[in-house]
Amino acid sequence: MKKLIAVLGILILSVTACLAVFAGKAITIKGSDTMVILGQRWAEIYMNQNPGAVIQVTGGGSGVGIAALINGSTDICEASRPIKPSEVDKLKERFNTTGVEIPVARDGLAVYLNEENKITELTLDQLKGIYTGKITNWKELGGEDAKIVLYGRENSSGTYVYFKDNVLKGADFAPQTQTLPGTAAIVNAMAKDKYGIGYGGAAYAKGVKYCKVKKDVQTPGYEPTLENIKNGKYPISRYLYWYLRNKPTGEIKKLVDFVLSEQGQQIISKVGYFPVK
Amino acid sequence: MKTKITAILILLLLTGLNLTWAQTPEDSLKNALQELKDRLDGVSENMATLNSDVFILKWVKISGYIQARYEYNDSSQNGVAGGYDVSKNLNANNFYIRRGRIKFTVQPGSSSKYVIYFDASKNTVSLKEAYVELYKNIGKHNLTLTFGQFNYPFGYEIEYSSSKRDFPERSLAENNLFKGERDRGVNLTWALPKYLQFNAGLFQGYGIEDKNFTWFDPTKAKDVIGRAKVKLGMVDFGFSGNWGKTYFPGSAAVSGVTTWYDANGNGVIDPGEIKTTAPKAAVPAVEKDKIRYGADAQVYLDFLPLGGTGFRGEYYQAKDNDKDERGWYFWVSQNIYTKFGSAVRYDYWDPNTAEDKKDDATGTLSLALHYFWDSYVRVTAAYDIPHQLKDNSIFSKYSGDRKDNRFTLQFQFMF
Repeated sequence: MKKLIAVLGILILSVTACLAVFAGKAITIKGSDTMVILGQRWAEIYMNQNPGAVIQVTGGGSGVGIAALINGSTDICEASRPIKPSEVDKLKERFNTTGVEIPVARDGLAVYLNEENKITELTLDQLKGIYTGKITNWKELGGEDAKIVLYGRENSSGTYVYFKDNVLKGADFAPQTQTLPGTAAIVNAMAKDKYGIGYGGAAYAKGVKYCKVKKDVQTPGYEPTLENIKNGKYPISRYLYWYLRNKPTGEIKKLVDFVLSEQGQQIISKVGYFPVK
Repeated sequence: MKTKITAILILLLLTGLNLTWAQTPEDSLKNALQELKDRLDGVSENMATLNSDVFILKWVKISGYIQARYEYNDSSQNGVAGGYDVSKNLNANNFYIRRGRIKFTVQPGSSSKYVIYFDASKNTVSLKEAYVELYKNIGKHNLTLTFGQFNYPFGYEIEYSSSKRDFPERSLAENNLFKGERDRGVNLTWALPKYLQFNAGLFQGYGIEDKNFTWFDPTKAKDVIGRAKVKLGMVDFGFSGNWGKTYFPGSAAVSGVTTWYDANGNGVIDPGEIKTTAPKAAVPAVEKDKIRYGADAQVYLDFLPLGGTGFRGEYYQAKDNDKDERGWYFWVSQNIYTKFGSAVRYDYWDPNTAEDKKDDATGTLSLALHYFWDSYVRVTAAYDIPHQLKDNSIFSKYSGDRKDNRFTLQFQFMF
């Protein structure tokens, strides 16, 4: 049996040595659909500037990205919501770490309406009423006599979680909410549906109009513009994050430094989000 | 006849031409659009039905894992040495399924959850967990009420899934004090999820693996179990307590019996041919105090380029059947990038801390190495080296240490 222990010890050392040699590989980034375009833009420019680097960016939702971080199938997770304590617990169990959180950008969570919809602004309470199914007709909000069609994200999406926590205050979405895979799909649906309402990242708003959002009845409504988000007037804004398992080293550290650099932050504005620096 | 056929053909031709003339390109486009719209409406209706079905399916989550194992034990002997008596089971080198788990969770909203959890291992299927959970959030405070059969809210090891643990089995203290890790009862959890969690519950007190009290509690009083856990990020720690009673069944009085047998057949009962068993008085059933305290701490460091390093320790102090018991473990776990992991643990268990029982403690050193084949499969090689301790000291091995080291090779698939 002593031999067996020795064999095990040698095995551990050999594996460690082999892995140290073969540690260099493609960097994988997975997670928030809201952040896919942003991640891809960063990756493209970084790879152009660093010809040896290979970065693969995929979406799936913040929850999917965090799950991939926990099971080791991605190096970097993009998330449009903070990691949950239960997810940190899973990281501790599998990787003996609490993870590393890096806020990389800011986003205003936009509420979309069809361009023909007469409604131009809604309060947070009205939005909650609409998405929990208490307000079902545009007439109740001063619009046409037509049923409100709800569009939302899948529950693996960080946008879904953020909207649920911050607009619905934890209440459940009305069951009639049609879930679509990605903010782009919501924008497409909104462009075709005169009586629809949807939410998502501000960067995707093409062919639809933003609904101004008011904190309450007394305050004015604001669109999710850079200025309104920076000065805190727009009520539904959030950080966008990168999560890593461990403190970044090597190529991943170089990439993180690039994202937080002046050049990396300028890319954020071009994609339609807001820099953190 | 020919005239009739010709007339019909001309009529048909004219009708056709008439139709063609009537259908302008605009009408044709309108018809095509209408047809397309009708089809789209049909698809939308189907999509709505599909969405509603899929929505319900999303309530249901199925998860589970299988641990297929080979064990090699130092103590094993070939069964031939046991002769005809198979029950002696001298061989302990086996392939077997240690855990085959499947869990069904149904959560229709954020206010309640249903869980049923089965284990199929060796040659039996058993119910591990079945409970209803209710949730209520008040601001940042989360309240959870759990009712049914579920994990004891005691210590760190119990809530730590066997699918994640570095070692094939939990510590000896946990295995002796909380067999099966689960019980029937009710538990209230109050949490500030990032920082604090308090549990308080009432339980039957015998666990799901008690052979005498398989589902019922012979005592009216229930066990009270409480736990406080503090999370500081890199450092977590907790304290647990369990107060209850254990029932020890009595036995009926037994009369003395005298028997004799003329073994040598000489027609006389010789003194050596008479056997007498003494009468036994009835032993009343009794309830005895059961008290258990626990303290645990975990530290997570990210200072090696290989990956995270975890330190975990737990201490148990218990009183059961008028005996004082004590156990603890210290466990270090090191990730080696994403594909490998390694761990070492020292586990101490003393089933009776009394002065006259000084040589009954066991100290077990365990080593483990993992290879993560993909996101679902983990292969583990582990080696356990138990020692009987002299004077209950971890530094002094008993000279007659048993030959009981164990090597385990385990393939686990988890989803």
